[in-house]
Amino acid sequence: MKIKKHAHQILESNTAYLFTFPYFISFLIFITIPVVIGMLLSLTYFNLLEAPKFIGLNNYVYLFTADDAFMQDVIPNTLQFVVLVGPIGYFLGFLLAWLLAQLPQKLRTILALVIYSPSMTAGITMAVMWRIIFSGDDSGYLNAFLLNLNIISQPIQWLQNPDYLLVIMIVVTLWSSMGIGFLAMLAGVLNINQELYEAAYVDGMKTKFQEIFYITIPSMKPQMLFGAVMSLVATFNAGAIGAQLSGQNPTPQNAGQLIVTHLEDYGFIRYDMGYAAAIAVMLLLLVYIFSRVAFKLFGDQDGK
Amino acid sequence: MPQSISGETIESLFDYPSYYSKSLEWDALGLDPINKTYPISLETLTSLGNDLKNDSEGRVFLHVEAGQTLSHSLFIEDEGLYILELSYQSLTQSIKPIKLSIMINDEIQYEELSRVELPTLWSQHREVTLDRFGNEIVPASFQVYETITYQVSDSVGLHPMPLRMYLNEGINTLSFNLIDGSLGLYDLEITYQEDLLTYQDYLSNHDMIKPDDMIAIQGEDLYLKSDPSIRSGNNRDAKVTPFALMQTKLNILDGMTFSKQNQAIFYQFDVSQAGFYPITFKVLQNGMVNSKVYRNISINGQIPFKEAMHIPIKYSRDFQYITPSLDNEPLLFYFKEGLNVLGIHVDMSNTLMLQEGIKLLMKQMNQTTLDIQKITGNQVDNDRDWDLETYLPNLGDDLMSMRNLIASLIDVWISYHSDKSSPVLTSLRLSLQRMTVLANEPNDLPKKILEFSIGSGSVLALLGNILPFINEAPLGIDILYIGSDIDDLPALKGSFFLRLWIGIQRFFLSFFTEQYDDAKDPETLEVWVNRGRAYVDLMQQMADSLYTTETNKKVRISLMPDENKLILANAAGAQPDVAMGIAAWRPFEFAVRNALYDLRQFDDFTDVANRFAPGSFLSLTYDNGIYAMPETQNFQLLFYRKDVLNALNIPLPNTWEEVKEILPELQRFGMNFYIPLANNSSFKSFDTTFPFIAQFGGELYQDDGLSVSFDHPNTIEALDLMTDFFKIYALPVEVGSFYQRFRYGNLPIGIGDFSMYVQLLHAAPEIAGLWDIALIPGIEHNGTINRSFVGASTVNVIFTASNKKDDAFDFLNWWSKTETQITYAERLLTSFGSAFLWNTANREAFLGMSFDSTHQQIIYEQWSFVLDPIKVPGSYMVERSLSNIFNEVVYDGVLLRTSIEDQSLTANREIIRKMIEFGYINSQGAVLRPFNMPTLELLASWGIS
Repeated sequence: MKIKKHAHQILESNTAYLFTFPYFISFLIFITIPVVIGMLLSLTYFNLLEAPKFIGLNNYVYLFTADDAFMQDVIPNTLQFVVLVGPIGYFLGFLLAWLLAQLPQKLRTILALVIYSPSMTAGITMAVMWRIIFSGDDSGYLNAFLLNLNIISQPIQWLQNPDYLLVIMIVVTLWSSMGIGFLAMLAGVLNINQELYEAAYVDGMKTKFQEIFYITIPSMKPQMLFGAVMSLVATFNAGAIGAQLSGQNPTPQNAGQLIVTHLEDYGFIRYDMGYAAAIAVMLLLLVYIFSRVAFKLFGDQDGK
Repeated sequence: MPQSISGETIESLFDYPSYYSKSLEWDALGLDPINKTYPISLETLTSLGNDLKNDSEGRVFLHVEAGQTLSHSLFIEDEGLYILELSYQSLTQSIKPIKLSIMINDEIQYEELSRVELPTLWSQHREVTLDRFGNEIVPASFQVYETITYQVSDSVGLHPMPLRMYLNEGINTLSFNLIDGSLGLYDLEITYQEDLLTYQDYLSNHDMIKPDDMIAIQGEDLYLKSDPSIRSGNNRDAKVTPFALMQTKLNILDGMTFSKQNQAIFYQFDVSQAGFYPITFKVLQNGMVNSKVYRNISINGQIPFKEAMHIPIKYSRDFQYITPSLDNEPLLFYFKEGLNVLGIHVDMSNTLMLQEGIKLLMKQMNQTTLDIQKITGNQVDNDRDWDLETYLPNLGDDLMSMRNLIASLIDVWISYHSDKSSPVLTSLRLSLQRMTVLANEPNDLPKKILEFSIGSGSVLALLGNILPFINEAPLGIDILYIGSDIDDLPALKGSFFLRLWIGIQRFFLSFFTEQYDDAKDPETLEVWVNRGRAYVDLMQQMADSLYTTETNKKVRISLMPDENKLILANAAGAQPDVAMGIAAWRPFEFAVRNALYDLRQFDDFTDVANRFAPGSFLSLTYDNGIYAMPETQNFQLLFYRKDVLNALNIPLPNTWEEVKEILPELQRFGMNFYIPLANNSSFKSFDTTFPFIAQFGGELYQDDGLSVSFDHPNTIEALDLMTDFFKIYALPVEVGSFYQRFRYGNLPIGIGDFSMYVQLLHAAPEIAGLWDIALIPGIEHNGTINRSFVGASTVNVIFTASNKKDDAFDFLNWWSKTETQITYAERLLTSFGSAFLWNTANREAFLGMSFDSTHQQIIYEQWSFVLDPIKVPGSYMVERSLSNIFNEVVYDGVLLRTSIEDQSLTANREIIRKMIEFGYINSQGAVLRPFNMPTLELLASWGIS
C-alpha cells in the first residue's frame, strides 16, 4: 500500500522531475561520476599508460606517513593560504559590495564590472601581467620602482625566492577573488527592504555600523553563506597560481606548493594518477569540512 | 680550430672603417668618380691552377671555387673612384650565398668589401601540391643558373648605389678571395656608375603611347626571386584572389618573407602593345606599425629612372592599392612588346642614417662605460658622490652630443616614416628622454650606469632593440595591375554583408571539415609529429614522393600540437604507430610503463643507431632496451664577442680553471661570464647541472641504480665548482636573457645552445661578424679536456600497441638516413629560408648540410662530447634534488655536505618508491631483479659506439 502511494506521489510530481532532469543528468555525468571514479582510483595504482591495479589504502598510508613535501610544505602552505585569502577575500567582498550599494546605480554597475572582471580573466593572462610586475630583473615594475627610490640596490627575484612567493600568490589571488560570491553579496545588499532601515531609525538606530550589524548582515544570510562557500572552494582550488607565477611545478623549494599543485605534480609529471586521486580526495574532504564550518556560521537553522 | 686559438688573443676581424665613413672621407678630399672603363681579361687573372672552360654555348668562363684567390694588376690613368662590374653564373648547389672579399693594393678599403655577396637567382615549382585535406603546400625553390651581371654593392643593402672603390693613378693590384660558394666568371671590369635618367628624360626617350590594355599578375606567381626564403602564403580576406572558403590556398606573396635587405622578386608578363603603362600593386603592409617600407622598381633588369627608387608604402591594417606616383600623377613605365620582367626590390637605404647613428652611439656608450668603470670600479656605492669631470673633462660634452645625435635620429625617422607612435619612435623618444636626464648630470653617471648602458631597460638596450625593427620591411602582395586606372580596380574590401556571409559559412563548414574527422586506415602507418605545420607538411610530402613510391607503404603524418595527447591517446587505445619530435625525457617514462617498443628487437637497429652519437642513447635506454632514437640534437657552445675580448686582451678559456682566470679582468669592466646555471628559473635542470658532474667524471647513481651517489668524490668536486662560481667568483646569479646581454656586450662570453646560435645568426645583424663560437670549457684529465654536455632534444618512438612495428621501424630507418635528413634540411632551407636550420641528430647528415663550415666543424667536435644523464625510475627527483642542492648552497648559505645529505635522502626515498612500483625490489628492500644501468661500455658491447 505504502509503495503504491509513493509511486503515485512520484507520478504526481513527474513534471517536476522532468524539469530537474537536464540538471540531474549533467550533475551525474560531470560531478557525481567523476568524483566516484576519483575515489575509486585513489585506491589503485594507476600510471595513465597501463590499467589501474587495486592496492587498497596504500596511497593514503604513503600520503600520511612518507610524503614529506605534503606534510611539511603543502598542508602548511595551503592552510596559510586559505586562512588568509578566504576570510580577507570574503570580508573584502562584503565590504566592497556594501560600499557599491551606497553608490548611484550607473556608477555602481560600472564599478561592479571593474571589480568583478579580474576573476573572469583566465589565470594565465593574469599571471602574465603579474609576472611582468614581479619580474626578477631590473625591468620588472616593482623592482624598477624600488630601485628608483633607492630602497633596494639589487633587483629581487620575487617569484623565484621562496621567501616572497607565497605572499605574492596571496596578493594576486585576493586581487582576483571578487568573483561570483561578491556579485551574490552585492545582490543581497541591494535586495534588502529599505523599510527595514527606516523602521530601525525610527526605533533609535544611530550609525551606519548598527545598520550593517543589525539589518544588513542578518537580512542577507543566504548570500553570505553562498559567498563564504564559493570563496572557500575557489581558494582551495586556486593552487595553480603558484606554478603560473614561478613558471615551474614544483614551485621553488616548495614555497608555493598547494594541494592542487602537488596533485598536478604527481598526476602529470610523475605519472602517478592513483596517488594524485588520493590527494584529490583529501582536498575534497578539506573543502567539505571547511564548508560545514561556514554552514554553522551563516546557515539558517532550518535551511541547510 | 679552437685549440689554436687557446692561449692567444683572438685576432680582430672587424677593424675596417665602414663604407659610410669612407665615403665621407672621400667626399671631403673631393675625389670624383671617373667615367672610364677598364675591362679585365680572364686570361690575365692569375689563380691557383684553375682553367678557363667553355660552357654549353661556347662562351669562355673561369671556374672559381671557395678558398681560391684571383689577382690582377692593371694600369689606371686617373686617380679616383670606380665601381666593379662582373658577369658570372652561380655554380653553387646549396643555399649558401656566394661570398667574396675584395682587396685593392693589398688592403680592404672598408668593411663592406670584406664580405661582398653575389646574388643568385631562384625560382619555385609551378605545379601546386595539395595535402590530404586539399590545402596547398608551399612549393620548394630551386636555383636558376643564369648569367648575372652585377655591380658590386653593399651586402647589407643600406647603400642603393654600387660601392665605389678608390684606385690610384698607375698600377693597382686587385685581388678577389672567394670565401663561400663557387662560380663561373665570364666578365670583369672596372667601370663607373651611369647616372639614372630623370623621369622627364625617360618619358621623352620613347614615343608617348598609352595603350588601354590591362594586365593582372597574381603576387604569388613569381618568375624569379633573389632568395629561396621568399614564398607565397595564405590570406583569408574576402577579396583576396584566388579565394577559397575553407582550404588553405597560397594566394598572396607572404610579406614576412619579403622583408629583408637585398631581396628582390621578379614577375614576367607578356605585353601585346609597346608603350607606357602605370602600375598598381595591391599590397598588405601591416607589419611595421605607423612606419613606411620602401621598394625600388626595375624593368627588364634596370632601374628605369630616379623616381622609380624609394617608393614609400605606408602602414595599413588592410590591403591597399599603391600606385607609384609623382605629384599625384601615376608614374608611367615603358614596356616593350613581348615578354617583360618587372622587378620589385627591397630598399633599405632609408635606414642608413639610423643604422650608422645607432652603431656609433652604441660604440661610444660602451667606451664611456668602460672609461667610467676604470675610475669607479665595478661596485657602485649609491651614497658616494663622484667628481668625474675632473678625470673625464669631456664627459659632459660627450653625453650631450650623444643626446643630440639621438634627437637628430628622431628627426630622420620622422622624415622617412611618420611622427605617429611606432616601436622605433617610442624607443628613440624614451632613450632621448633618459639621455637628457643623464647628460644634465654627468657626475651622477656611475650611479645611473644601469640606466645608461648595463640594465636591460638602459639607453643602450633601447637603442639596440631598435636595430632588428629597422632591418625589416615586410610587404605582402596580392595582385599587380599593369595599365589600369585606379578608379577601375575592384573594391579593396568586401562589403560588410559579404564578409559576414563568408564568416557564417566558414563557421558552419568548420563542423564538417575532414581535418578533425580523420578516419584511420588499417593499411597506413600512423605518425604523429610534435612540430610546426610547415615541418609536418614537408615531411608528408617527402614521405609520399620518396618513401611510398619506393616501398609502396603508405604513411600518414599528422600534427600533434601537444605531447600530453600521447598519454590520453594511449589510455584510450588510440595511439599512433610512431610518434616523432617528442621530448627526450619522455620515452623513459613511457618505456617503464610498457607503452613503447624496444628498438633493439629490430635486426638492423645497430646500423641505424650508429648514425647518432652514443651519448644520446644513455637517457633512452632502460633495462637493456633502447626505446627511442634521436631526431634532433641540441648543443652547448661557447659564444664569445670577438670585439670585446679582443679589446680587453682576454684569451679564450679551455677549462673552467681558465674561466676563473679571465673573470677578474672581465669583472673589472662590469662584464661577466654566463653559464646556463644562471638562467632565470630556480629549477636547475639536468641540462645545466649534469655537464659539470660528467666533466669531473662524477656519478649520479650507485652501480645498482637504487640510490644516488651525490657524495661520490668527483660529484662533490663538481658541485663545489658549480656553487663556488656564484659564491666566490661572483658570476651573475640570474640572467633574464643571455642572448640579449650578449648582444649588448655586457656578457661577452658564455655558454649557449643551438637556438641561441640560430638567433644570433638571424636576429642580431648589429653584431654580425663580431661573435664566434668555440668548444665549451671543461675539466682537464691527464692532458685531455672533458667537455661533456647534455644535448638531448627530440626523439622518435614506436608504440607497443602498434600492429605495424616492422613498417614503423622501416619508416624511421628511412627517415634517419643521411640522404633523407640532408634532403629534408635542404628543402626546409629552400622552402622557408635560412632560419629553418634543421639540427639533425644524424652525425653524417649534419656534416653534409649547408652551414658555415668552420662553425660546422666546431659544433661537430663539441658533439663528440655529448653525454645525456642516465635515467632510473624516479630520476626526476634526482634532478630536483640537484637543483635544490644548488639553490640551498647558493641562496640559503647551507653547507654543501649538509645539503647533499638531506637531498640524497629525499631522492633515494623516491627512487625506492619507484623501484618497488616497477618490481625491482620488494617493500622490505630485498632486490627482486637487478636494475641494469646503461653505460657507454654497455652500448659499445651492443655495437653502438
